[in-house]
Amino acid sequence: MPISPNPDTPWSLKRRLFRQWLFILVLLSIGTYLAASAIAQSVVQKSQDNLLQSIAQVILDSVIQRNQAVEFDLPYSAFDVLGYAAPEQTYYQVRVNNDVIAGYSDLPIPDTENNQSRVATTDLYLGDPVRFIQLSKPLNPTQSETVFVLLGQTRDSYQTTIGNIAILAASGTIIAFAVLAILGFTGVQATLKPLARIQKNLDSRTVEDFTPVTANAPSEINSLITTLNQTLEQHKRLLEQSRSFIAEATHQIKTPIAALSMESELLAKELSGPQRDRAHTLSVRARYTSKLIHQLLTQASLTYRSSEHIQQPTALPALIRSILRTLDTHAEQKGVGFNFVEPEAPSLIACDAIALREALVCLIENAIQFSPPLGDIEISIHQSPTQLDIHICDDGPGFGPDPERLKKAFVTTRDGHEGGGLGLAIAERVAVQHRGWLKLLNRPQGGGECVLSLPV
Amino acid sequence: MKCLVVEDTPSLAQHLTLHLTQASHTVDLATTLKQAFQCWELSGPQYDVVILDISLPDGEGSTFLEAIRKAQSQVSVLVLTARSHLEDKVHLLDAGADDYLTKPFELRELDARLRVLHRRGLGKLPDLQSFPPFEYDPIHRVFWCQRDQVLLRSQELKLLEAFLQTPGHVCSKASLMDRLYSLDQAVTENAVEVHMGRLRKKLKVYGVEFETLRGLGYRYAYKP
Repeated sequence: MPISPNPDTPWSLKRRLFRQWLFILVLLSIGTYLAASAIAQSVVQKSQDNLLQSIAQVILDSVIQRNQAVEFDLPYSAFDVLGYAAPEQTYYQVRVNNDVIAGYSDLPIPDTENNQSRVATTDLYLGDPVRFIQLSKPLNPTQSETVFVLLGQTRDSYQTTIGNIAILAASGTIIAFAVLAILGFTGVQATLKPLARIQKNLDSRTVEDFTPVTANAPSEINSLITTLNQTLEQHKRLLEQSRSFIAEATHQIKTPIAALSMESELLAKELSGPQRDRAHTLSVRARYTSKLIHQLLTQASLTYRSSEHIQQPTALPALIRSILRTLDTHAEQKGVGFNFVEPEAPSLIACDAIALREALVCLIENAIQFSPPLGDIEISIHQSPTQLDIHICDDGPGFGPDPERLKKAFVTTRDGHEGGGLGLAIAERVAVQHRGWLKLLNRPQGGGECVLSLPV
Repeated sequence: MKCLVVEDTPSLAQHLTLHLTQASHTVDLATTLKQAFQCWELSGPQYDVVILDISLPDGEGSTFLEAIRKAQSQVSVLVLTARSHLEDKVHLLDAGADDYLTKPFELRELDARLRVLHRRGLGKLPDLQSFPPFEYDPIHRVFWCQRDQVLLRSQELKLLEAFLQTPGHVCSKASLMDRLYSLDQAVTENAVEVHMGRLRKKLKVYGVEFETLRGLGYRYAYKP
């Protein structure tokens, strides 16, 4: 089953990889950000808690009971330590049982379960989230009174630090992934490069170039190249077989026709009267058959050539001179003359020279066939910046009321002529293959005019 | 002319040989590539023209063509081909063929092409008849201008010969008509005018003019 690219859903390996990698990158970045954020949160909070706890412990240690009175000395230097650690608001409260003896009286009191001596909590105070640590100890040996130290600190700078750490971690991941992605793309590029070289090599080949493709490619692609070369070899063999068959078949068909034609011509020389005419007709019919075969094969060859988009710079005047040289003997027999009006400019055109030659041969042979004895065929080239017209004018009967019809295969206006009825169809096909056209005109002064127009 | 005909199809070879012999040519026939090389070894330089079929039982006729061109032979080669590949014709000319004929062909076309090829292949002889700006080779009926042959069709050649051979180089239409056509051919003076017109165009580049003399005909005039 042939494998061919689906024209409706073309996809690019690079685009697909890019999309997949972008998706993974986004997921990975979000994941890294969240994970880093959680870890930083935990670490930073633990660090803040430790700091708050140590300061609260200092305050708690300073609270003592002497002579039934509670005394304590607030350690201001400890608060300075908090200030150095982070530029945050700090709140404290010292209370005995439920009596606040120092600090902010409206701080939210955390719930204590099972008489915990340490409680850490985060609560809102004055609209900001505040981290609180509460430490407690019995004030006296009877444990009738308990002293609580509640120390709180806002968390803005800590949150900023946590955010920075998370962004840093995510950025690192993005950069690392981007580096990996670039390496991946380079790898894909390097893998595709031999394929691009192979494509270029195949594109630049001539019709008959079946030499094996060679490319310094990775081993993964080598098997593809091997298969491609095998296919090329198969095509070469098939083409050679087909060509050799056509050549042999043509030879086998046309050679006996040639013998028949020649024999009837020689016979005509020896005969006289109606028998001579019949021998001559036999010879004409034989040549007609051969010409038809030739034109059918020419059409088949043009189909093959059109798929190859052959374009080679061709000097049109030189091509026409060469054709006229070839056809001169044939024209001379009818007494038909050529008048080639050569252009001053070189008239170079990119075309399939062999196909164009065949088209012009068809048109000029057609003109010779229809020219009266001693008629003249005028060939001229007219070039504009965008178009090149080749005019072939003859003194014959013209193309009748419906010239377009004559471009169809096997349509002919005349009887008794040797044409196969394919010449104009071939010429038009070549014109269309070159994105041009063929016009058939009846000249006002009589005669026919073919204009083969090609874009420059 | 001495011709080497290389053709493997017996009937075609026989008819070709018969026709060429009837036309007073000397013909050697080779039906294989091997025989063609043998004939060439024996009398290669004596051939004026080689009529070569491309498809032979023991190889391609182009092998023979390439070999004789490699040996620097200037002999005229007319290739007969039954093939219809578009590239073949171009390839044959590139390989050194002077002309080709696609089978089947008319015998008179073969004759005409052989005549042209024979003329083209001729070398310039010394002491030719002067007819400024041309020199005339009466043996081979060829006009030369310095080192180049003047390529003319047979009717044009007859006309130019008429002017060369007439004192004062003045010819009447009637005399030219006699030159061109036999008595049994029904032609008008218009035919002479047509051929004169074509000859005028061809020789204009050499500085040659044909002046029309009312009631007399034409006068050949060289104006360098």
